[in-house]
This record gives sequence, C-alpha cells and structure tokens, in this order.
Amino acid sequence: MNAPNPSHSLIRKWLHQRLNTSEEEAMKTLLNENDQFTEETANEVVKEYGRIELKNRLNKIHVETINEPDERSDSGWNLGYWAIAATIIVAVPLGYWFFYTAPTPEKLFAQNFQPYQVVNTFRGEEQPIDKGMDLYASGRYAEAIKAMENALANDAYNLPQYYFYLGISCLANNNPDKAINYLQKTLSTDNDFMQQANWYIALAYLKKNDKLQAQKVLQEISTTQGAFKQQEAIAILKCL
Amino acid sequence: MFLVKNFIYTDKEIINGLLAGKQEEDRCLTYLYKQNIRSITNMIKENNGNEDEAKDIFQDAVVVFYEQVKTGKFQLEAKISTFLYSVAKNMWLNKLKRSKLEIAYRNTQDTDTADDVYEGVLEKEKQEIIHHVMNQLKNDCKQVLVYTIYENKAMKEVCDLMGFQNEQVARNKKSKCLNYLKNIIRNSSSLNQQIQEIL
Repeated sequence: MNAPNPSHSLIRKWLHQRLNTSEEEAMKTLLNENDQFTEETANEVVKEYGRIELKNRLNKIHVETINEPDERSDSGWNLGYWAIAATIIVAVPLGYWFFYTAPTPEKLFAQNFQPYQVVNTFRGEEQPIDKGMDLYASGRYAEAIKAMENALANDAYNLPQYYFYLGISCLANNNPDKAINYLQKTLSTDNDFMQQANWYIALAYLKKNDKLQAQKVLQEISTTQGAFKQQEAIAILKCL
Repeated sequence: MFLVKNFIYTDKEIINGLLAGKQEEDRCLTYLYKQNIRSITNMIKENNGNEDEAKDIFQDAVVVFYEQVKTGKFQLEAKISTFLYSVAKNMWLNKLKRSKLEIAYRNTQDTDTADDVYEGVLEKEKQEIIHHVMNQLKNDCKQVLVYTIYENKAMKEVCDLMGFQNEQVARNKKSKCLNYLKNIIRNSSSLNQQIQEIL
C-alpha cells in the first residue's frame, strides 16, 4: 500500500480547517514557493467544488423523488393485487369457455394484444426519436413506424428500447413479420425490455397463425419464473 | 420544453449517458437515483440509521460511482446497483464504527464533544471556503476547470461544450483559469483570515 502523501494530507487539513499553527506556516510557505503544490491544492479545490455541485444536483433529484408517489407503496401493490384478482376472476370462466370453443391463434392474438404503455415523466429538449414515441403513445402506429425508422438511421438512437416500441408499432399495424424482426433486435443485447419483447414476439407468431413458433416462445415464457405475462402465456398454451 | 419518455436504462446506457452531454447525464442520474435510493435507505434504516443519514450516504456513493465513471475507472464487472449498495454499505459500516469509537472515547474522557455537530459544522465551513475561493472566478473559468479537472473531459469535448474555436484555445483558457485560481489560493492561504472574511 502507498504511504499517504504529506502534501495531500496538508491540503485536506487546510480544506477542513484543521491546520495547527506550524502546519499553517508550512502551508503558506509551500503555496508561495512550490508551484506544483499550489497546483495540487487548486486541483483539490476544483474537485471539491465539483462534488458540491454534483451533490446539489442530487439534492434536487431527491426532492423530486420524494414528492413522487411511490410506485411500490402499499396502495400500488394493492392495486396490483386487485388487478391479479380481477384477471383470475375473468380468466377462470374465460378459460373454461376457451376449452370448449378452442379459439384460433388470430383470436388469441386479438384477445391478448395491447400496446406496451409509455410513461411520460422526464422533460427536456425534444429528440428526433421523441416524435415517433409521441405518435406511438397517441396510437398513430403507421406514422410512428415512419418517424422511428428515420430516427433509428442515426446511430445515437440505436438502442434496444426503440426497437421494442417500433416492433409493437408494426404489430399494431398488422405487420407481424416486420414486428418479429425489430423485436428480435431488442433481444440482441442485454436490456430491461427482453421479457416484454419475448411476449410480443409470441403474439406476433399468433398473429401470423404460426402455432408452432408461438408455442415455442410461450413455453419459454411460461417456464421462466416471474416472467412478464407468465400467467397469460400458460393460459394461451392451454388453448393452442 | 418537450416531453421525454421514462425509459428503462441498462447499466451500459447509464455509463454512456454519464459520459454524454449534460441533458443525458441528468436523465441517467435521475434514473439511477430513483432506482436505488429505496433499497439503500432500507438497508441503512435497518442498521440504526435514519432517512437523512441514508440520503447522505447514498449520495456519497453516487459521487464515488460518478467519479469512477468520469475517470474511466469503473469496470462493468458487477451491476451498478450492486456497486452502489456495496459502497453505501461500507461507508455506513465505517460511520457506525467511527461513532462507536467516538462513544468509547467520550466515555473515557467523561466529556461530550458533540462530534456529530462538529463534523457537520466542519463540512459546512469547508463548503464555504470552496465557494469563497471558486466564486472569485468567472463562470466560464469555473466551468472549464470543472470539466477538465473534475469531470476529466477531453479538450475536444470541452471545445464542443463551451464553443471554443479549437483545442489550443481551450487549453490556454484552462491554463489561464488555473493560474487565477492558484493566485486566489495563495492570497487566501491564512485559515483564520478566511474564516474572518466569511463569517
């Protein structure tokens, strides 16, 4: 381990106002006679200033954060539980009905497809990709596809989440082949949309009436602990 | 002002965002903050801490992460959330250890030195000294020094961000500003003098 640098220790003491009389004298002499020491002190002052400024920014974020409703608060979870309960209440009789009527893959798609929601919270300067996302959020999928494809031509937006929303737009626009292509790009790198993308890929195969491929993806979802739409995948598999 | 979506960022995107412009940096910091504050607050509260202490420790951990990213020292070997949690945990354990030692010391001395309050005052005074020194510089000087010394940005990037004609102009500006700062420090080296000036 390196021994502590005596100059550094003097600078830190100076910043924390812990210099005794002799150290204060030494500090003064060094500042006047040793340019390298003065530069080290200046660097340390700038770094401390940077830290203070960063902390000020973090404090602002903190205030925003504590003023926002806690998504994981009790009421949030209760809502989630109610949603699950409601799903079960609806799904059980529906399952019974499905058993006797054996819906087609296309029908299963129609029953399960819902575009993934976009939550608006951040504000800032509009980026080209935002236009596509706004169109997606307002359900104008054909225009969203055009805008997003244009924006994605720029490498800066070459991110999995954009391919994810683009894929869903294609699916909503009755183009499952293109949707699968874009959604698979979401799976090409590790990201937080992978499970959701898998669900929409399964739906795209249903839309294409490709029972075999749909079953394959749904099987994967149904056997992944805690996967996105795991229960729905299990329910669909029973119908196929 | 336009609406920007609340995307989910991967660890790689967070790091790239912190190395990009200020707007993207703000988005990533906000995302990072919201994703991690609760787990670290819970850990500290379960270990004899309170909300305020948790906030301070968490922010210190974010500062460590930010500086490691800026200086290229952060390696994506573990998840960012794991890194923050472990840095915060170590910081909190060290703080607990220090306060236990302080209590033991106070007990042997039979005095109450109110070290927590003293520490807080020292921190505040340090901030006042830093501001006192830095505020004698013009804003563009402060900015160029923070970009190059704290954020470790390349001169090319500084040029783009601050609108300098070329890297040499940026380099000259930095050198001039650093010399100003050195003179300010030399002239205010007396601690007592500084305190008198501030108070």
